[in-house]
Amino acid sequence: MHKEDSKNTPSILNGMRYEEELLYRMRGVCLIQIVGYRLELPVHSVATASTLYHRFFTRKSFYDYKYTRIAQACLFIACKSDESSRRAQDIAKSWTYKPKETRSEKAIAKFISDLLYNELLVLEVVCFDMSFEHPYYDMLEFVKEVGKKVTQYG
Amino acid sequence: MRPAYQEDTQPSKKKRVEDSDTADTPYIKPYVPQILRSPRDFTGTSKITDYEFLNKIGQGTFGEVHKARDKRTDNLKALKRIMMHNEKEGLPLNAIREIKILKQLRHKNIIQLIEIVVEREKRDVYLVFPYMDHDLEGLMNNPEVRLTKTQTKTYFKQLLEGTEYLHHHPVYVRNNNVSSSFAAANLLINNCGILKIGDFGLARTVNEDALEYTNGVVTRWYRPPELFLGAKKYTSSIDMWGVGCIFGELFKSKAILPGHDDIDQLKKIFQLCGSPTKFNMPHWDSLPHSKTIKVEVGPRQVRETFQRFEGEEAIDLLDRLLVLDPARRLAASEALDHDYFYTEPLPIKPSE
Repeated sequence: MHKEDSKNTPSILNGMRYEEELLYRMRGVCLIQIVGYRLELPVHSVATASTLYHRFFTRKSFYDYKYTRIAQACLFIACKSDESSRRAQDIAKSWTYKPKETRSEKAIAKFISDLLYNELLVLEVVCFDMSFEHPYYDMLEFVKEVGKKVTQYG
Repeated sequence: MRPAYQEDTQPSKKKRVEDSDTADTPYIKPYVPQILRSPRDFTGTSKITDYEFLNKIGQGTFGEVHKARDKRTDNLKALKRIMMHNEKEGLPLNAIREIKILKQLRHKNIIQLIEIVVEREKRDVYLVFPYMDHDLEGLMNNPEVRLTKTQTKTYFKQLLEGTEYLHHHPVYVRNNNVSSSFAAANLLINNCGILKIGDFGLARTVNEDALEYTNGVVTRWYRPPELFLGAKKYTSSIDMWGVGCIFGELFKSKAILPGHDDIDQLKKIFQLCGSPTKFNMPHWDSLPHSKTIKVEVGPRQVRETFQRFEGEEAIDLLDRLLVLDPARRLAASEALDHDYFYTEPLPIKPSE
């Protein structure tokens, strides 16, 4: 991927401003992180979900797809592919979670059917690539190394 | 893994402008926005209308397999339909696992996942594989086909090469090996004589750190004794038992240990390989189920059973593969170094 590709995403070509797109990306990833935290997902799965989300919107426009729906589907796929499976029901409940409100059965059923439809959509757009090498593990090793050096010489 | 990009068929406006700009600075590659292409241009997925269905070949682990012709290239493909029986959870976990593993493996003796076809309206997903003419089980059951010694050796060598690749492939950042279900029906052979390991529906990535898995994984006839005794740790030596069973099967033309339930299977294993003792299987009495199973004392009979089929080297190799102690079973790379592959008749190139 070229550096300038990030200024020529489908959304920008459709007339969105660069900053606006960044904001949408941030919102989506924030949602994924919050729900991931509620579901007590490992960091690895959350990272995979975010990567899927970013990939989807480098190929599709924010105008054509609702970003919350895509974020849900990304999280669902990441759960499954990283062997930390959560039921669709659980995602639905924690996604629509509001402190003093219980969602009706109907809303949850609607949510799940949307989720399943979007799951295939996301998978098709990202071409079923679900295994990412996250840099965090190397980063962790690096930090450990640095920590050792610091305690040695510092 | 990033998908390979296809050639840009529609030159964009941007490209032409860039080309004229870069005429005097030839070292800078003109920038073409790749995003402009439609998602169909990314390889990996295609439409169902690209394929013409011919007939149903078989039933896989989680779906039917159809033979189909690719209308674009006129090649024969095998389309495996993923059944969405559990509608509530979307794409089944097994399928996701299989796709993920297959996408990362690339070896001449392992089945290659060409692409995936998604039909969103009908909620159908098809995996596209190259069409293979036979499987090993079918070949051995066919009375018209007699495998010569050279053929046996060639097929077995290919099987070992595929297995070796699997055992040494870092499939996943944190996980080390892949463990697949070895069974004669899963070994596919095409008319060019190439053997490919197929069907990773039950495979899962294995972590050496002692991830514990259920022991209902390998098809019963090819399951090693330690799994019946309740061992939960997965190692690559489990696969090597299966490979040994298939090797014996190549000589005998039928399954060597056809147990009809788990207890019977274990009995047959101990009949062939002798009863477990402290010497041939250390720690066997510490495995969970070892107390509940009664073992008849008997000697090891691997050499005697297969004496009449093959030469000395072959029996020696089989003897080292069908070992009760998983730590002493040969690894795939060691088996490839065995004298069997360096004595007459030598293994030939698959095409011959």
